[in-house]
Amino acid sequence: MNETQIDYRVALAGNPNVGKSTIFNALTGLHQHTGNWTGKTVSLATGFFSADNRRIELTDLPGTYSMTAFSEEENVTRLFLESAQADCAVIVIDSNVIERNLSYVLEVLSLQSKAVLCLNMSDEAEKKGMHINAEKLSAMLGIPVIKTCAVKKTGVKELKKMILSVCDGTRVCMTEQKHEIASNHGAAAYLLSQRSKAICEACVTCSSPKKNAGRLDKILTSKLTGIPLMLLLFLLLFWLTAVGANYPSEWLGMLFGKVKEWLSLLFEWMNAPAFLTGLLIDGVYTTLSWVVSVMLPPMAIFFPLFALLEDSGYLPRIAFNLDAVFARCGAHGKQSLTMAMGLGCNACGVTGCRIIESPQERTIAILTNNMMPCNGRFPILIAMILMFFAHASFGLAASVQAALLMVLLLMLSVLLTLGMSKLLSLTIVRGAPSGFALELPPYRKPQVLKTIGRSLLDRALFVLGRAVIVAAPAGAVIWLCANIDIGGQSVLKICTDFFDPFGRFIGLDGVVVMAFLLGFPANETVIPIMLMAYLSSGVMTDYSGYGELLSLLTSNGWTWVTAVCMCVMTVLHFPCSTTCLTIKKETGSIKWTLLAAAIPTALGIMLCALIAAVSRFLA
Amino acid sequence: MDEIIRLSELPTGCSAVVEEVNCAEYLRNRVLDMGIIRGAELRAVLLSPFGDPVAYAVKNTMIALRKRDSSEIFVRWRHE
Repeated sequence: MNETQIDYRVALAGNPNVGKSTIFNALTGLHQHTGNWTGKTVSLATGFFSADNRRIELTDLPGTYSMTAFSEEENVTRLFLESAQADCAVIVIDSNVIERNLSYVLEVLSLQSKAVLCLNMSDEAEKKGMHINAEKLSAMLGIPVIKTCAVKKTGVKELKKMILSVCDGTRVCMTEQKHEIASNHGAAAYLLSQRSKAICEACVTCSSPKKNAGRLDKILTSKLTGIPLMLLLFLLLFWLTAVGANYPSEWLGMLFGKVKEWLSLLFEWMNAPAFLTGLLIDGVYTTLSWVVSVMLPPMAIFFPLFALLEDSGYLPRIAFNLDAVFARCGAHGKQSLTMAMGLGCNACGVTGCRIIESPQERTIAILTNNMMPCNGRFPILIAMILMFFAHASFGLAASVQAALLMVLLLMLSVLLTLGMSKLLSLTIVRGAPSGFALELPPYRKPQVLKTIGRSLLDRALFVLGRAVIVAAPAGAVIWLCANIDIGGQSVLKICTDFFDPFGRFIGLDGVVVMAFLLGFPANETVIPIMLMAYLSSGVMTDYSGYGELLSLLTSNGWTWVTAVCMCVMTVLHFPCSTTCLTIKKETGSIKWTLLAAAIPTALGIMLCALIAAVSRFLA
Repeated sequence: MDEIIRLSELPTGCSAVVEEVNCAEYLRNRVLDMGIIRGAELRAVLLSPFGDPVAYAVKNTMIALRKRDSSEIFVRWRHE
């Protein structure tokens, strides 16, 4: 977008978890990911909207509790407002928590006098018997106040109009610049809290009784049922994934097979040279279709369901339930949140570690994040389980078995993460343990259809995008390697033969080792590279479900031991290039980046070698 | 009876008023910003499965604190 076209700049500020991202999406029509937990937005997002033919740029500042720079995000927010980059600030608050939020509002107003206050989730508050007198509040603060319910999009139009009139000066803000001299943060916070209390007493009438923990929380976090219910929930998630993944996978395989036939006919009709046909169809297209049909279905089922869980507000409860365990390992309960993010994408998980304040606990979380199998590796695990340990086509028992195994694998990843955290905290990342203060948001009913639809589209686009950007070139490279001969042997064969002794030593083979190495730009390509390598030396098959894949692997000497080692290596090896770059960026240190790659790789090789040795011994 | 106790000693289900927040420096600031500040009323509402941390209801939110940290917060507990 051309910068000269922007008429006004507007900043969006607010406490964490007040629905800021939802307001951002409602205003701009964009689809930034939202979730019911603190720290979802970790970097600045920018969007645009128009009102009255004026173009307005909206910057979504990270949610913080105050402006006194204790963390990176608070610094960003403060600097942005201080440098007067915005013509107007939209301060979003959760109407249910108005008293605490007002402290933040007052703080923003001391930096930015032109502002609009957005009372979000106002319907929810009213339902609870809270009545907020918006006119009085507006008069006391000196800025316009708009009630919204971003989820239902009420009040958004009014908000847009009001933003514009504050920007162009038709609505004048009369903020009282009270600069009380406070000697330290504590004193300043106390003054702010006293003022917000006074404002609340004047503007808010409340007929509801005092807040108590809900029944749901009593069950989901209790000593007896908290942890078992958490495991059951994940079991259900994986079961649905295992049951569901096979069908769309087969359909996609069939579809891609048909398209391949047509493409081949087209190339024949065009009299394309054999080299080009081979490169584009057998190389690029086949790899693409493998990536999409193996990777997409599990992703498209697991992540929309996980997004529902995220929206409901359950994730912080996991951090709450497990904090004692994390604390024992020298880590922070919030690490479980970053691990959950790592399940989606390790690069996101590493960035997400910013929510952990203390440097050593953050470093631990960053270094161990890769042990959670991400988007690109998760389907490898599912495929291994479905093929070797549970035959998905054999009904209910098999799918439950697959789900159990997946939960077991995930628990192993978590245990490894905890063990590694403990080890790190005792050795190279020593430091005093820091405190833990975590907000547990109220449960909210997720917007089921919208969340599922959105997440489905996101995942599909993500996987397809990665397939095109990374898998397609990888397919071309592999095909070339397989078809260029040096001294009567293909380059691919020479490479895999070179790695083969080492591969055998760790229970795998040269092809898998090379696939992991070549999969460095993106783990999604590991399976396709592997298959291309196997296929290039045998008959060419098209993907048509896990059964086909299984027979290809077993014909190349795979046993269940190979599959176990494959799972171990999948979880424990160097992070992908994007994650490595992110780790470098977040830690600012090459040492940590190298360690983050070396630790899991060494661990993986040792474990696999052990498994291979034991299985040889037993055989 | 009116007595000053450590927040970590407050029994689940009971309310108290914050007197002083003495946590380690940066956590102290975070805790203050979250509304746990002199004069604020809070109530211990939820015990996690391992007994630590504990969640407190304060100003219509729920904040979880580790015992190690909540023992540095002093509250006035009014009880029979």
